[in-house]
Amino acid sequence: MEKIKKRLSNNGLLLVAILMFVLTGLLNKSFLTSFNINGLLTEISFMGFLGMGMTFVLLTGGIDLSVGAVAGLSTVIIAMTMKHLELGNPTLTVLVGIVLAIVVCTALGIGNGLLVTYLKLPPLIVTLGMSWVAMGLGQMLLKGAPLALSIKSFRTLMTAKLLNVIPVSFLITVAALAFLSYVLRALRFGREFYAVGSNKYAAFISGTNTNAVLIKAYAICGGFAGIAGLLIAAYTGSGYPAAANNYETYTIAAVVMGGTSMNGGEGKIAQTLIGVAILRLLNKLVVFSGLSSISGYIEGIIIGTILIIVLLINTSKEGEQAK
Amino acid sequence: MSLIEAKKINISFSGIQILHDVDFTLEPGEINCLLGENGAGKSTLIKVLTGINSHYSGQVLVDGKLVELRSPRAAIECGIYAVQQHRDLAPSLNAVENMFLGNELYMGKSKQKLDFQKMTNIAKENIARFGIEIDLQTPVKNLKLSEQGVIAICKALIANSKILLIDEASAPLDDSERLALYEALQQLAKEGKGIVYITHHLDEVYRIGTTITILRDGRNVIKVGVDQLKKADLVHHMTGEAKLYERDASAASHITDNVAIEINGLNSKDLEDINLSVRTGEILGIAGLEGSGKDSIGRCCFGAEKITSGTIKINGKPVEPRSPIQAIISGIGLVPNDRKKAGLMLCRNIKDNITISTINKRKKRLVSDIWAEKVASKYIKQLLIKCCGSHQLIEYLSGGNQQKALIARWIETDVDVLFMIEPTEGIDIGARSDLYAVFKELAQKGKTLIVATSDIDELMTLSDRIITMYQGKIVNEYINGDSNTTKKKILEDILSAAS
Repeated sequence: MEKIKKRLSNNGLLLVAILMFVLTGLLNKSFLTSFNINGLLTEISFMGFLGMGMTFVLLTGGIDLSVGAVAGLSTVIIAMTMKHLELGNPTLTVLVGIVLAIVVCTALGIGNGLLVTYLKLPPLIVTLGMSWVAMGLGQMLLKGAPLALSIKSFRTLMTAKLLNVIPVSFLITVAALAFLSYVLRALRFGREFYAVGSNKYAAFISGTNTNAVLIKAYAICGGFAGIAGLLIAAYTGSGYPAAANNYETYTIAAVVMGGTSMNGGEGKIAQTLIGVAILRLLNKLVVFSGLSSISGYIEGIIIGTILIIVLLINTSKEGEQAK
Repeated sequence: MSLIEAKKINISFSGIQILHDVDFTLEPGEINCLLGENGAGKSTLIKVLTGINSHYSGQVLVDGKLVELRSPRAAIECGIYAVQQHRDLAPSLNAVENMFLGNELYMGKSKQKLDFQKMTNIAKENIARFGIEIDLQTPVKNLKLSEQGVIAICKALIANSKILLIDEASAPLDDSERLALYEALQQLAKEGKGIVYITHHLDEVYRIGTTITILRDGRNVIKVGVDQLKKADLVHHMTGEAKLYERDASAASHITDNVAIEINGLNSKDLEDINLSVRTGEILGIAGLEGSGKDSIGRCCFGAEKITSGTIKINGKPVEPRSPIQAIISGIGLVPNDRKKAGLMLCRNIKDNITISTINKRKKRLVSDIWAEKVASKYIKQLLIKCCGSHQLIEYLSGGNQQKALIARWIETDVDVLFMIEPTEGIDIGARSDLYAVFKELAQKGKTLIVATSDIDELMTLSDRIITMYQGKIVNEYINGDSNTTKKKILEDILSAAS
């Protein structure tokens, strides 16, 4: 019985996700088309990258509010590169665009990290400021209306479907998930994030370079936001600064629902991805069950309520264990 | 060749010089007890040696070579490792991860992939030396304080560095674990390692120490072999004047007939059928191990813990303190044992910390800074709190002086019955003496003190009456001064060795 209970509490979220999927399908059969499921998986992919990056930062006890703007900037960079870079070879152009986007976004992440560690500024404010900077940069580059991605092959590659349902972007996300889970669980590079988040002082006196670890966390978060932006650009076919507008709030909700503690030192990448999945499934559930006809904003109300309930459950669990 | 030879170490914080030309040496095989009053600079010196206080000036030689201890990593690479009080465990990591923090074992040559199996085995071996079992998978924040203390020590043992600095690590341990610690340290000394040991318990010094280094006011006083220094002289060197509070048996006459607090049939999660009466002017001592419930009586009366059944009467009037505020109004106070978490407002100054509980008592609406200043100064003088004035931020005071400020706050509340849990924890001999005199004075002025402490010497110095507890029940009651009241009997009660 104990074993079953433990299995349930560890995989509970996964069960919830599966249940939601089934429920939505039962309520409305038109949900179960390859188009819809493909869309769902694509959304889970790019929000997944945002969430996985954010997990690193939350593990260290910080927060990154700039991911939405940074992802948006990434879409602008890839679109602009395609339009303006004359290399004659479209594949090369795309590759340069991808690298440029990821490098710039990682650099912004490093910027966040430097401000938090060396200037000792609070992450909440630093990343908030950075989100405006990223948004501004995107608008400056674009100078106007959304820009369509001119090289079609990029889109077709990213949106290609395995078995006609699973998009390539989802496969990339799952691969990243497997790799990152391994890193965080078994390699020193990963365990350092937990140590710093759990007790920065203890890690410090044990010889860990805590500043380096924090900068790495924000750099990864920025870089992953960049990748997320690339996936969004591939899906929507265009680049504009507000492409991921307010996605950071969804991301934080997803990571917290996945069980990562806001205090740092606890959390798992896999759980984050399930949290992301649950949020997207919730969106589908609301839409396909007809609830959204009550009000366009009902999804927000439901997410907020669930988030509070999840926090209550998590804190009461912590309170139980402390005894 | 000395393991450590530190010469003319100077360091200042915010313009105030803490260490003045301090020299320090450590030889192989030495257990060098670093002693001094609170604020003498012991922890500061340790933090210099561990690379945390990196802005020191002076020379440090390790094994004869000049080194620059400008970061913890630099110190670790020189073979210097420290165990500190309270702060060096990561709460959400488990025991194994904590023990190997910074010292992880890897599989293969890459120095990245962690070898959890090997680390777990070594962790188990080390814990076994303490004769206890600890859940290795759960985050350490869920473990008892004594278990956490053992983990912190194992972490240092695993580091197996040639120099080990131990800053009051024995405090959270219980007796059998402490014995295991002494054994482990003596074993390391035999292997030629050097140990610096900071403690406030002089009996530990005479038990395992080989040498004693004494600091006072940030300066060297003496370094000498342990058998060359008598206890009285030791105290003299530490405090600058020999003063040890002596219990004056005749002074017990200030105890009146009035029953200040009467507890009947008190039951709670940790207590079983507690019946207790304490008279005005009496000092009652409660002895017990962790988990015996000795702190719970105070916490229940103070409204900090839920009472399942039982009655409490203050001066004959029944009271039902359901929260600390109600308790204070009823005349009950509590000095908690974890001053950092439960007592002080670390970001505020001394003034605020001392006057916070009595702000409401003033008739005037606006809080007067002049009033706060007056109150704070009174206690700074009376309790000899070492500080730069009542406006100083309390986090800059040494532990012992912080505790004095906390006690000052409670004295100011003028409650009839004051519970205290480990009131002199982390306080040196000189300051402890001062506090005992203060407590005695309070009792003479008609207050009632109930002190729960694990320091039996303290109980015997301070209390008029002592009760012993085991697993939530009162075992025995002793009158201090009685021939029946011996340390041995008390120890037996709390360990439940006599049945």
